[in-house]
Amino acid sequence: MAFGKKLIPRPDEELGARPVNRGVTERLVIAPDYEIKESDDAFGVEIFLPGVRRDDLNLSVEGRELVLTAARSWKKPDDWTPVWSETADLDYRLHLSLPEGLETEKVHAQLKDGVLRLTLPKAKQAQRRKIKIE
Amino acid sequence: MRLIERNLPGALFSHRDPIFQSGWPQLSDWARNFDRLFNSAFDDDFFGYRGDRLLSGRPATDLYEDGENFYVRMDLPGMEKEAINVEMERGILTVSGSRRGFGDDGKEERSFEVRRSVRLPEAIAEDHVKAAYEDGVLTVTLPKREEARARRVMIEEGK
Repeated sequence: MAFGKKLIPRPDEELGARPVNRGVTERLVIAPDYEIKESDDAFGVEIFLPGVRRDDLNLSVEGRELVLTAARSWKKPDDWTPVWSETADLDYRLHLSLPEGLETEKVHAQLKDGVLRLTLPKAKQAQRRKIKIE
Repeated sequence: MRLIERNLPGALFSHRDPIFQSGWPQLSDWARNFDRLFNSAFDDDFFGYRGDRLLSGRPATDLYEDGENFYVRMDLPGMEKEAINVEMERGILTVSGSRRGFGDDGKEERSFEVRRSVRLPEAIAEDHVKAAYEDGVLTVTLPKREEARARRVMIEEGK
């Protein structure tokens, strides 16, 4: 696992698994749940964003930083009285530092049923190759 | 493919579920709860108790009502519509479903179950309950039975 920790995308410490910024000046955000998987030729990141539509999602890769911001598009109709609430009406934000050796221009993203699936292909030279023993 | 990191909590089923145990929370409870939400929404304790289990356990749930209906909204991202069961029996709404994901060992894929029940407050027209799934959120609309609705009383004209 130590090897993995060094290599894989990790959330920015400040924007880790919990919301940050209780302050008044900055907006509260919430870090979405996610899963990172790895295969020989790519990393796969699944980010859970219930209530988010395509238009409410911003995703950018700059250098080795991947930043995701999103918002729930659903808003409570005026005449609905809230009785119990477990979801927060906050923007989602996730910041991942990417490892070296990714083909960031070939990142593939798909949003379906509130789950964003990212595929981050490894560059050819960074892929694990099985070496044939002669 | 193997799992190398995730920030989701593991499975946690608890019997201490306010929306089932004490039924449809009263508005006064809501007010108290709101206070709690504000002060400690992000404490571990609170999250442990909240339904923020996406992979397994209890999905996060919001409850609303208006004059005509009760509404239950549940976060169920990444589910197949066919894999979601919505059942209504004797005033208790139960939503269950499963999705595929990696186990904690990160090697084997397995099925994760989610299930949550809501005890509803009063007469529901059980035959007219509707459910819709959109953007990973399930919305169940439960119409109040005629006698439970706030009705406007028509004043008859005197003869």
